[in-house]
Amino acid sequence: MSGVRRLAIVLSICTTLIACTTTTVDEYRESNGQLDMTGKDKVVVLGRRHASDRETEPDFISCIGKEINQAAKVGVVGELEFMNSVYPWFEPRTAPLGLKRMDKMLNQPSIAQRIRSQNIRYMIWVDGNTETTDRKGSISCAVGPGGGGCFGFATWEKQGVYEAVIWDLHDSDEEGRVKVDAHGSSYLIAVGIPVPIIAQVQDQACEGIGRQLRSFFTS
Amino acid sequence: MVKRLLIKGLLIKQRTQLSAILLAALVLTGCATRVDVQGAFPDPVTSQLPVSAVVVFDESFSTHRFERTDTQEVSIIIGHTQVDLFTTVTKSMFREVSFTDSMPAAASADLVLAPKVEEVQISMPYNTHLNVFEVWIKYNIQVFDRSGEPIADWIMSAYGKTPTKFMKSDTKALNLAAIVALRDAGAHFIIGFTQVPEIRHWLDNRAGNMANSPASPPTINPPIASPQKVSLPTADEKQAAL
Repeated sequence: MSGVRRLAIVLSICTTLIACTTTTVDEYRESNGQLDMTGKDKVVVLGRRHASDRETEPDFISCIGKEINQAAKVGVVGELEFMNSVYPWFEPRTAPLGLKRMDKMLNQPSIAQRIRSQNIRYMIWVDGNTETTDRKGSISCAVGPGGGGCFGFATWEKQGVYEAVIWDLHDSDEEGRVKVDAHGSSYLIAVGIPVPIIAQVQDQACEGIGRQLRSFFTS
Repeated sequence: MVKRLLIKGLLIKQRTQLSAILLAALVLTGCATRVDVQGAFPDPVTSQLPVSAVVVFDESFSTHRFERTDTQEVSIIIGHTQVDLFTTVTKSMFREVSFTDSMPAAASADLVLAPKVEEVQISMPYNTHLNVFEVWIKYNIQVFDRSGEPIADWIMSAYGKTPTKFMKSDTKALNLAAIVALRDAGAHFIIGFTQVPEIRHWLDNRAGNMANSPASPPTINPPIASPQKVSLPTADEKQAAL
């Protein structure tokens, strides 16, 4: 077996090894039915960024947008696109934290006009983040004239906790909440070549919360 | 034959030395983070104040560079990007605005604004053990009237952070954190400008003077969501004043 072929097999094994992630999704709805949506109505998904020690990841917000947009055919306005269109009113310092403040903003004609022109009916606020909660083990690598290699075992745990709140901008109402808690352990085993077995915690959290949010708009 | 071997040996030695130098350079640059902040800013949604302004971007502001050499060398150039920000923001905020690189002797505008960078602070994940890159910028916005008399020294702080990401470079993360901080500075400037007591007082006085002048009836349109709005006297108030 050639060296290249062997390397290709090792790499393909490495990329297919994915550790397990446990995801719990909780949901609260104001009403049982689906949310009203006309053909032109759109949704914007925004991340909360006012906490000092953490930040809702922009790529997580974009992932949720894709999840809602893909299957439900619900138009989703991009986070940065929206923030730029209403700058500086949805920056971390200025974004409304509650519906009352949002109402006041919508009473300002210039802001309301920018939101209306994009046909945004629902605003979804996502707060939370994914962080490494525990780390154990170690890996050592060495390189010499005859080659190199790694030896050891390391494991770490990640937890992603997020909560999404849906606001209806037409009725100035909260329509529901979805909370997701995902956690998983990743491993790195090295006997010569390091083999990572990674838990896709953030991806699983995105899938869980995205699927549930999608169910608000489609059956 | 011996000569050829000697030359070959010399070449190998030179190559080894060159590789060692390159490797050392790579290791040394790998420890330093240098960011020339790049980004664009959207046109803000705000109402224009009925005043004209001259904005002074002096050299220390337009070429501002922050360097830190404690545990790991970090340097960040924010000068030209903050000029872009203040240009975009002030164009939307004032009826008329012009830009200069030195303090004018006699201003042809109602206000002269001279922003200065007082302090920059950077925090990397290895400093705080948090998974975020942080940038703080403290500005001193000096405001003068037409005759060069100081109106206000407004200390304005801005903050931006961005989460760490697997395989994302420090340079990109720090650039993003700086852009978030500059956007925050813009937001603070737009919303806070008319709330600075001295500036509000100046605007109120000006509005009052203009209201008393029959030649030029003013129409002040305050920035959105400003709790302390610049208001004109109502018709009844004007009548009472007379």
